[in-house]
Amino acid sequence: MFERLTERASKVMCLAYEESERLRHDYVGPEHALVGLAQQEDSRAAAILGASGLGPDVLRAGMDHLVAQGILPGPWRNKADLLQSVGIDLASVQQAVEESFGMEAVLTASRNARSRSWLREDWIMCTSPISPLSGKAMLVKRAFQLAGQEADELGLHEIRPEHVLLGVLRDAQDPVGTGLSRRARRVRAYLGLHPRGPSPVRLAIEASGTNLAALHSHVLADLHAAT
Amino acid sequence: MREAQPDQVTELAAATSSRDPEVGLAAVAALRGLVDVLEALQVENARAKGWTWKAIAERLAVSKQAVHQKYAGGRLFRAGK
Repeated sequence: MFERLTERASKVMCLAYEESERLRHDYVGPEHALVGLAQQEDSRAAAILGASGLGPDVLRAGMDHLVAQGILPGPWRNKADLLQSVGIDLASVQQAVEESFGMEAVLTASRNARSRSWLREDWIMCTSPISPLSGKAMLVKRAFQLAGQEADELGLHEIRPEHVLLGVLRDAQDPVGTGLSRRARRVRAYLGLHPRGPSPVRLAIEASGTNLAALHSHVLADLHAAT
Repeated sequence: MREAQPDQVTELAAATSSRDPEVGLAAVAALRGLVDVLEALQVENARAKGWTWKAIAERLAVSKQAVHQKYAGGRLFRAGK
């Protein structure tokens, strides 16, 4: 479904990546995508979130709070810091291999080693130049699949940021880990994420007094009104 | 807003790595991930330079079958990629 994203919806992934970087996380999850959606300028999704008291600053503070509560991983749980703890400077390794083989070859190797054929360069490159060596796990697939379904239901092929928001909100209505394989659960555990419990997106939204299902209906009604 | 200070984080990780299994074990897994990428990079480079699977396997200190199974068969390094 990633190929169905419009340019602006792709940009949400970049913004999500940036939020993940800010928190020094090793994955991109729906919670990062939510912050990305809220942050995007001239966006319908951001306007709706803002009107519900869920502006980027509020949501970022919400993420920090979830980290402090131990619901989201702490800032040391990323490859660069973990490798530093055993004396390996990832930035130096990165520089050395890129000088020898070039960025493209490193990206390919990273993609192959992790069986992530869908890893897209523009998501990695959209922020500061981040090496594929420190590539993040993508835990947003279900939210984007649901975004695709939302677009289908509206009779659209392309997935816009508003559909991504709907997907994120629908994904958050189920507890974390819904529909995941055993392998995917292992990845979550390794990243320091809880195996079960309410979605961090739900927690962040409800912390500011907004009802998740009501917000979903509100976004949907807004989309219907616009078409 | 709380911002993680990279230096502090690194110091924290370095200070706790030897004792805290939480950090130590995760560090080993991170290392394994790095090795996987470096191996894929080197194998691809060797193949591009015309090395045989046998020669690659010898340098990696693994069996020819192991390296072939992992990297050959077009699943990973497709032509032109």
